Amino acid sequence: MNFDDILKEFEASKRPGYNEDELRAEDVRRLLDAWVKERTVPELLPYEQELIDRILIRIRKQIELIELNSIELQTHEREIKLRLVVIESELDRVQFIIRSYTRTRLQKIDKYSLYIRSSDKETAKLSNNEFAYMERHLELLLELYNSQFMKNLPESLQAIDETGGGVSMIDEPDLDRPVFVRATAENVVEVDDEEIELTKDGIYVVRYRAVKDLVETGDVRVL
Amino acid sequence: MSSDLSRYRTVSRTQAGGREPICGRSMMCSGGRCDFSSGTSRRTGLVSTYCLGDKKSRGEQIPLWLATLLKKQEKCNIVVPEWLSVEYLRVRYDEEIKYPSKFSNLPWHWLPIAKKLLDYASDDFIDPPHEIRSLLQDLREVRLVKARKGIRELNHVYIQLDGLSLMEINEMRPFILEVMDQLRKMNDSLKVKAEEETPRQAAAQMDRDDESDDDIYQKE
Repeated sequence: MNFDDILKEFEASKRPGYNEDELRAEDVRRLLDAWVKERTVPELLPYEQELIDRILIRIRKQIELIELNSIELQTHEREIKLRLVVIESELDRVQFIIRSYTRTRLQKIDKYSLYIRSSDKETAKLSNNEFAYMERHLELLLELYNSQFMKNLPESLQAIDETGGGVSMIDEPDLDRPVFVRATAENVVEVDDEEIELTKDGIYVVRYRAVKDLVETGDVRVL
Repeated sequence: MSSDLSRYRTVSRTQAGGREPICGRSMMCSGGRCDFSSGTSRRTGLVSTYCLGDKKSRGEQIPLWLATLLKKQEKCNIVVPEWLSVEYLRVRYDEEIKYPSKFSNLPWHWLPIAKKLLDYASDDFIDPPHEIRSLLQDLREVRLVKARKGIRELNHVYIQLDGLSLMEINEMRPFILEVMDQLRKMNDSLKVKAEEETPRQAAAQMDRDDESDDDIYQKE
């Protein structure tokens, strides 16, 4: 653990109104939420930098704990074995979600990299690592395209980000794709000039664009 | 998509409607034989903390995954939630039959919870597990038929699915999303076409008028 981590942990523990336990449980809950959102929503969402950092620190601590205890396992085997089993299975669960979260994001980044690069607002949603990944991935991809077939095309057809002619070559997330949502407050949304009343706790399938803002404010939760 | 969802939730959340007994994902667990805490610390420090006290034989609320894990190690008994009883499920089943257009109110995660508990803790059930199993199966089938009938209502704007549980939603998710998306695209292209054709249609109409005039003329 480096100095920054320690500082971050210290700051996290200073947040008012929470004790350490609630904070940790809350973080895992938020991770689950972020994961579900990322998987169900068509666009790329902002990276949960602080949350992921906090959880990664805790994961590292748990792994250290397991390693430390497995060395001593022979001496007081009985007492510690069950604890290790529990800790390990929880680690598995949390790590699964983090991996899935990261992969889902990478998938979207691969798919929409040209679009993401074209706007600062989108680029800001990436973490530093994700940004580096996107740049390098794109670079490799272009290299491959060029060496395999683009060099044989007439120059005027070599662009990969043409937007003219009625068809854009840049893939953009389709915000009109439907999503499953549960309303947590009453609201009215408009789809195709039709007004839909969202009643509290109702489950709906609507296009993402119509509820995008409500998802951000938390009045609607994606499922 | 994300049909794994329910397995990883650990906190309880209230169920739609809120009137019925709610069982989120935590189970009561009577840990008479649980010697978890006999070690140095009272607390299992997990990434998300769960406190396991050293109260003997008193119930403790813990997440489902932990409960099944301890059960597998034979460290605890699980207190099966109220809704997993023959009586309760039978009432729900009758409701499903009585109101053909409505889903009865079951816990948000009733399918996975029931499956896990029946698989790992069937000896903790008060009612015979096989009866519960067959009731659950009946319920599931009735609801599935209803959900399929609901597909007829699919349109490009929206659909409301109150009362379905997460697992049931996940079963239908890919189909519903794809159908709605296609309907939307078709509808959009219809709109574009209509806009394009408004002037043309008027022209066509005039042509037809001319033709009919011609017809009349020819007949004469």
